[in-house]
Amino acid sequence: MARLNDDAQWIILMGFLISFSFFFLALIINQSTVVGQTTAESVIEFPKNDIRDLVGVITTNTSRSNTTVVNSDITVISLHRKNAVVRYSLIQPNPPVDLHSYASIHYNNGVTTYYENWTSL
Amino acid sequence: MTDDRGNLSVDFLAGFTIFLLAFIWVIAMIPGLLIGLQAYTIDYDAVAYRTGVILAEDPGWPVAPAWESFGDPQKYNVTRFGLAISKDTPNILSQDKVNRFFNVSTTNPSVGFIYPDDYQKRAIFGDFPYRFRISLRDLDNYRTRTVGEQLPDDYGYIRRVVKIKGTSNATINKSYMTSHSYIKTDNATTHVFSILINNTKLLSEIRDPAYQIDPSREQLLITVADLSSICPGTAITLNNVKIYKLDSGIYSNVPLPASNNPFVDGSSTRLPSSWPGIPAPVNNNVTIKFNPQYIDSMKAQNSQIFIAMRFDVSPACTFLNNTQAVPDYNNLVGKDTFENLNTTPFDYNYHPDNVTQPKLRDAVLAVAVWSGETVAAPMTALFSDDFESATTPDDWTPQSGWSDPWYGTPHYGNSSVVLRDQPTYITKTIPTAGYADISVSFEMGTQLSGAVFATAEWSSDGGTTWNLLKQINNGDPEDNNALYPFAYQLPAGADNNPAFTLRFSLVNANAGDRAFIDNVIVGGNPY
Amino acid sequence: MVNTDGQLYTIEGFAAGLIMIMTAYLVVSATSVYTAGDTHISDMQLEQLGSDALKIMATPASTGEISPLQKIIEVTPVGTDNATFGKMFGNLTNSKTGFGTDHIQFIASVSYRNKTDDSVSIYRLNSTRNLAGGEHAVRTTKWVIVNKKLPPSAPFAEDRAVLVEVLMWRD
Repeated sequence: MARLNDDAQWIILMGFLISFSFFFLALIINQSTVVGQTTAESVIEFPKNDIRDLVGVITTNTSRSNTTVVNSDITVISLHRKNAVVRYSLIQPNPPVDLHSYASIHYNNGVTTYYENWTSL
Repeated sequence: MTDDRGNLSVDFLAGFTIFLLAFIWVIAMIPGLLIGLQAYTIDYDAVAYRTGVILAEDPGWPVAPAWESFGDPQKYNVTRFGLAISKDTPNILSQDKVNRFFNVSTTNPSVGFIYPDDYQKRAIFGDFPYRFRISLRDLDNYRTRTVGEQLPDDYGYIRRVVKIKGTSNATINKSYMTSHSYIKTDNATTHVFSILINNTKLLSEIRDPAYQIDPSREQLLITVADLSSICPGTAITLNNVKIYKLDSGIYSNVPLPASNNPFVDGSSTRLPSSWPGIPAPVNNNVTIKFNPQYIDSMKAQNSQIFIAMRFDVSPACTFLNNTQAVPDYNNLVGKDTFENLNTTPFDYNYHPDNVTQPKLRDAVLAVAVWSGETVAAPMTALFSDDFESATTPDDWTPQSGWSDPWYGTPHYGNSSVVLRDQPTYITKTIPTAGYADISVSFEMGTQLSGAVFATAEWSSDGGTTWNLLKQINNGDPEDNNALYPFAYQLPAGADNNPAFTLRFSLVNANAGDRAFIDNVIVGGNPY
Repeated sequence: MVNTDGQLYTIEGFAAGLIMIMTAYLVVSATSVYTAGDTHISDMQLEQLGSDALKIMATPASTGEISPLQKIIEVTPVGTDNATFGKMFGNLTNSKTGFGTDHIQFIASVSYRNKTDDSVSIYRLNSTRNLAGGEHAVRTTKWVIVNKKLPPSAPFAEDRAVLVEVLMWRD
């Protein structure tokens, strides 16, 4: 009976061994990099300050005149300078029926899409 | 014939592979275990950022009643610190929240929050014992407040630029009384002066919390001044202060707890609880300062609050009076008293003539986070004096014998130095040759009365001209017999200057006035 | 026939080598957790600081006042430098709570829209110095509503939204 020659088996096993160890090494490296990167990137990538600023300027604008020109200003400059698509509409207060003003704001900078319905205090 | 030489190797390989896999798996978890223990700044930066956001943009929890209103025995109710006025006003901090937050103690659980435990749970979070230092520098008031330890060499850091909302206050002086006909020609012995705090109006006229006057959130300060000059030669007593609340047409009398008693003649302590049983003599002024918790406990968000102060003068005289002609103070009835042609209460409102409006001041908030051992600050100390020597302040130049080591409260270490009982000062020339970016830090506090104040000054010309660093007046928050840290960065005039001089003075002092100084450090960077 | 007598030694050699490499690697990686060079932590901190400073400058100190930033833009003719901005922004961003000051450089500019053709024009408001090659700056912005003739040739002043942009970097 012909016997299976397993003399070279170790070569394959070694191959497995080395690839497994590399796999786990990679796993370790990946996990450790994630610690710093996600923190900073999530903070930078989510445009919290931009959105707050935008909502702030739009909502203070409800009490001013000239809203059409300001609306175009914000839309055009956002696209040119911030690469963000901004659309918003305002409803001014209608006393005495309704003392509140409303804003519906849409923001998209390609990574983050944000939508808000705002009502004045 | 069986040859098992190869088999042996295969068995070994299989076993060893399994062992190695398990070994790698275990090792792979080790960085995870060590993650908080090692000195790398990424994690510290993230924690500092988080704490910075919570402090600068969040009002904390609970919101109503606000966390800062909980006294030390109830501080376990506070689950999260946050210094912002409201969630809609990020970066605008409340002075009351700031005061409460920096009310820190290192040992005594009944006085303020304990560093680090109380802060860790409420501002830093996580189980890992981070060390930290949170400081707030009030740029307009030249005051830095700090909780935490000395910075090590390596730490995670965030700095936020913020505004601090100041409190509003009103001073009713003689010219205001005259121009508003608050002095009636009635020549009586009993006079009633009313102040109106119209919460409904205050809260609806301005809705932005950054500029709103909200008595249930921030302290109001009302001073009735110049009383001695209205009718000279009379004895004035503050007989009583009654509080009325008008809520949807119904007046109710709200008792005034002793913890909200008025201050008389600029004293730093309220009238004792024996008042109003024993009427208080008044020389010149009365200050009303209600704690926001008191107003909050009245549930007066939609009410008007009337403060009716009764003054008795002897002999009878034309005095401050804006409530009825001669009211029956003991039986004041709301409608007849306050809604009366003869009553024109002082209105605490948004009019700048009446009330100094709350103002937003610039400030810088810094959070530093690290772990492990704290080492000394990297700054080169040019000079330091902790006043521990028994012959203190011998290495300073005292003006006279009225500065001594002080072993009582307050001091750090063994002793501080005290300036006392008469106008006096200590000076010290500290050559700064070869150093730039000169900074000065010291601890200072006072116990004063009357028109006395204590100053810290520096001079670039050996004492010919002095520049003020800090002045503590009678009645200031620092005037409470405790030491407060102050730190200043000096302009270029202090750099490389052999005549650089520091001076601490007690001005206009009388017997009993004291100013305490400790831990003076002058630092700089070598050129 | 191949002789396998030395097989065990070879395996042992490999295993020992692996263990040594791994140990060395793990020691290094555990003591200093490995972070990629572009984690942007310092960028994040600088951007936050600049954003805060602009926000503070755009906040009036009390009711009825206009914000310092709005005032600066309104009084400065388009295209001219305003040192007040630099002083205020520099003071806010460079102030520390402890000893010393920071050294942050910046270039501030203002963008506005031309109503006729919807193009966007930019002019410089103030700067500490120019950005040198190789320096890495972060950008932070703030919307401000101003009452101003924009562009300067406009017939009348009206409420306009302009974008203040600041490039910030450390020396």
